[in-house]
Amino acid sequence: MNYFIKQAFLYKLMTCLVLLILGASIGYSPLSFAKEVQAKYSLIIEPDQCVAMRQGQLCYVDVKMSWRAEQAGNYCLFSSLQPNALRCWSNEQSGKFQQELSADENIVFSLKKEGLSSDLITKELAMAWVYNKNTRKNVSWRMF
Amino acid sequence: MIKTPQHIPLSLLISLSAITSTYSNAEEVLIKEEVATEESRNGGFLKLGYGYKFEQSPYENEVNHFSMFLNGRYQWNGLFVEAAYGANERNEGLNIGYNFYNTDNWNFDVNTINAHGEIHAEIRDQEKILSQHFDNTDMIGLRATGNFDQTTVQFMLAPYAISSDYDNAFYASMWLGKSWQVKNWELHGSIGLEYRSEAMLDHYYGISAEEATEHFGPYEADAGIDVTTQVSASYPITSNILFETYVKYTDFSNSISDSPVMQFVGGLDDRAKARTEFGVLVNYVF
Repeated sequence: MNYFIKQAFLYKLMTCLVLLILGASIGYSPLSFAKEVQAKYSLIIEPDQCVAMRQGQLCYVDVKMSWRAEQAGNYCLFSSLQPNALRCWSNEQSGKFQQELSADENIVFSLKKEGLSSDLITKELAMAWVYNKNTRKNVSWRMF
Repeated sequence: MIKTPQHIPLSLLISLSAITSTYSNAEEVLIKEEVATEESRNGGFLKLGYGYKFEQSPYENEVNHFSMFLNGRYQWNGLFVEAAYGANERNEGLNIGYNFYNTDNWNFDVNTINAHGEIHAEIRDQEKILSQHFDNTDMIGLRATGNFDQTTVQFMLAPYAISSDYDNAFYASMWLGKSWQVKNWELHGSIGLEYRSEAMLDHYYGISAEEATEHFGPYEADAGIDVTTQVSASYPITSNILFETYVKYTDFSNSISDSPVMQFVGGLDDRAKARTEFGVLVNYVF
């Protein structure tokens, strides 16, 4: 019995490998599939970086977000800062949203279909700083 | 039924190896953190600025032009060099030192300090010339700096003069600074008291009977305390470019202000009895 289970598993594994190799040979891969999905959606974040004086400080940024989808639908915009949607749109193909945010780590924005958990497209707003945490330990007096 | 007992030791082995690897990883992280903490005192920064500067003081004619600014510090195995040229309440030039002890909040150093700058005065009064040329007084002392969140305090006692042509020089200072974050702006305010001994101030500002002229009579300077305050605002434009503006004011001790020479030069055009400095600059931080 166990012998047959093993055989079936090996058969499935081999089939997957052959399909992957064939797919790769004709220029098709799971990665390119993901690219195709992303091409159906666009998400623009401005600015894409927030600069604080020191690492670990809250960085304040006024973010402008705009998205576009190939087909109209119910979409929601999320950020990694909160579980709830920043804003949702009904039967829209594009949308804009602006909000002042503060964070001490990178913020990931994502567009989702309403009611679904998978991301259609994501963009990251990176945190940057002038002085890292260790600089403070080196400074005997405020020199900046 | 037969394979089950074989799977248990295997899964146990996997679990144990996972635990061991997690533990050793945690140990590695801990060691790395300790090393990083020790090594983090090595290194430093350099801030080069260019901008507009206005300065009025009794020592120099009014400065009102674009200027370079430089601030930096580098420490290696306790040895450090500090440079403060402009845009800083501690406009102390180049200092070297050794950071010999640290706690979570305090740093203790032995370092050099330019306790007083050079003075060149030559005043023709009737038929006599009052001529005074004094070099820097560079001293060495102990410094304790405390960092408490956004507040910094610093105390320094410098009893030893490295280069001076007089005795009993003594310098002490006490500084308090506090920063506030307003959005991405950093506001900073500080106040400092600098004590200079009688011997030091009399060396620079005293006028002996032989030197005295008709309008610049003999003068003996006492010890005195200068008070400096500064407020500044900085804004990071990028992770390397920093906008900065500041205003600084120094009220010299009566012992200095009452000196006949300082009273005279403080009343000249383009000079003032106190020091006022203002700057707007853009820095590149390396």
